[in-house]
Order: sequence, then structure tokens, then C-alpha cells
Amino acid sequence: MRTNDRILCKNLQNYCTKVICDVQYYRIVNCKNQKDDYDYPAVIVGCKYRSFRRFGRSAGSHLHQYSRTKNLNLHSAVDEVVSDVYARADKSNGKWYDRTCAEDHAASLCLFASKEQIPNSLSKLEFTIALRPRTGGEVEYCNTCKAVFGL
Amino acid sequence: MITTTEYQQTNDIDWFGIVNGKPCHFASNGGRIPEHVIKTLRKLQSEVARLPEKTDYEEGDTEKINEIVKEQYKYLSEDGYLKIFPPRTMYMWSFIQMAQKGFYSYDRDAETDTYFLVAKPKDEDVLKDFKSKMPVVIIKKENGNGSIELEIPPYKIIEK
Repeated sequence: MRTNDRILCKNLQNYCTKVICDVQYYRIVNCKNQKDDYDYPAVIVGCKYRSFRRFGRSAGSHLHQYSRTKNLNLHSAVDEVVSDVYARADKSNGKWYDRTCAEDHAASLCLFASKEQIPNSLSKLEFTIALRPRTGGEVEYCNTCKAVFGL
Repeated sequence: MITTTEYQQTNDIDWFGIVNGKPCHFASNGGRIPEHVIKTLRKLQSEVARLPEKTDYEEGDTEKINEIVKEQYKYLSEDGYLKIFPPRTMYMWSFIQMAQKGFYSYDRDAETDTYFLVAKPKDEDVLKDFKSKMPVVIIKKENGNGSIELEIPPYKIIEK
């Protein structure tokens, strides 16, 4: 579901600015440990679930996020739900994105933060519009995200 | 890893090359980048970030820029979003910055997988010493509207 939550939208714009500043900073100081932060993510998005608000960025793989949550016993549950929904989305449009979208990242962070039961329907997660951080321009949700999150 | 297709599809990479003898900057916007530019990319990105802005700029494909500004910033009039900068400035700032450093700055149109010129330097010579560090990129096709398609051969090794 799409949201116009004021706090989330305003902070999404702030997050966009932060991403730009980080990239410029890492390049100027030539920070060798942050080579993957020399590039802007193609897309960022904000997600809200209950009172939790988080931001996600498109990336090669978000699997690294799961290591943060190994004590929550939630990662496998999320994995199961998301995989299942993806499997369905996969059948419906024939594409498999392997969880690289910013929406997945943001949704995962929200669900982990909530430490609650995984909702039966992922359409309970609310999303801001997706932005291209470099330009702040709106990017259309991909077909898989539309199917998975009911956007 | 920057060499993987997955990484390139999910990032908006600034990369650089000489096209027809001109120093160019490309914003990949999730597109693939030529394998031979990757070796020196991080070094170039870092060096370019520290280059001074020495010249003025001119706008490139004004029609395309107008179209993008009209389409992608409608959300700024919606509830919840702040209109801090004019949409045109928001879209163009990074390309202007590159043009002021002496690069012809291109953005990638994701729909057509072509690059179009957003900004160009008024004085091309500011980068004449820097050009030797940049890899040469070959144009596959120049379209009538000024956009270009680049020759990006398949990668020999795709690292996972």
C-alpha cells in the first residue's frame, strides 16, 4: 500500500540527501573500506509497518541484513514468507529479482524491527514512492514489488 | 562487487570514458557498464571528486530534460513531501557539476537503454591533461535525437 505519512516522506528526502553526501564524502577522502559506497543506489524507498519506519536501498543482495537479526528467530520466517510471495510473483510475471529491490530491504528492516508475527499479507506494509537518490526523481515500482506488496 | 550484473543493475554508477575524443561522464542508472572501464573506475571516481569546477556549462538535450522534470517530480506537490529545490535543479545538479569539471555529462534512459546529454562544458580544454587517464569507449549507434548507444561487449568473467 502507498503511504503519504509525513514523517516517513520527509525523512525519505533527508535519507536521499544523506546518501548523496556519503557518496561524495567517501570518494573525496578515498575511503578504501567503503568502495561499494562510491556509487549511488539506483532506488531508495521508505516503508512503514505499525509504528516502525525504515528505509531501504536497492543492492546486489540484501542477504547481509539477515546476519543482524540472527537472535530474533525471525529471519527464517521472513525468508519463508518473502520467498513464498516471490514464488507467486514469479509465476505471475515470469521474473525473478532475487530480492535486490529497495522495497525488499525496507520491508525486511521494518519486519525485523517490529519483532512481531509476520503479517499474513505483506500488503499491510506501507511504502512511500520510490526515488532515484541522485536526482530525487520518482521511479516506478517494479512489477514484482507491485505483486508482492500490493502497490 | 562492481563486476556483477546484479550490482550494476541496482546502482547508479558514475563512470567515465573518452567518446570521439571528448571526455565523458555517464550516470549508469542501473545499466551495464563496459568491462574495461571497471579496472580504473574507483580511482577515477575519487580523482574526479577532487577536481575543481573550472568552467561554465551548457544544457544538453533540453527537450528530454523538460520531459523528465515534468514526469518525475509530480510527487513534490503531494502531501508529506517538501519542495526544497526546484525540480530542474534537483535533476541536473550532479550533471552540471561534472560539466563544470570539463566532462560531457550523460544520463541513461532506462526505457530505451540509451544515453542522452544532460550538460556539457563551455570550455573543453580544462581536462586535457586528465584525458590520458580515461579509457576509450566506443559508440554503437548515434540516434537522430542526439542520444547514443554504447558498445558494451559481454563480460568474459562475471564474478559472484
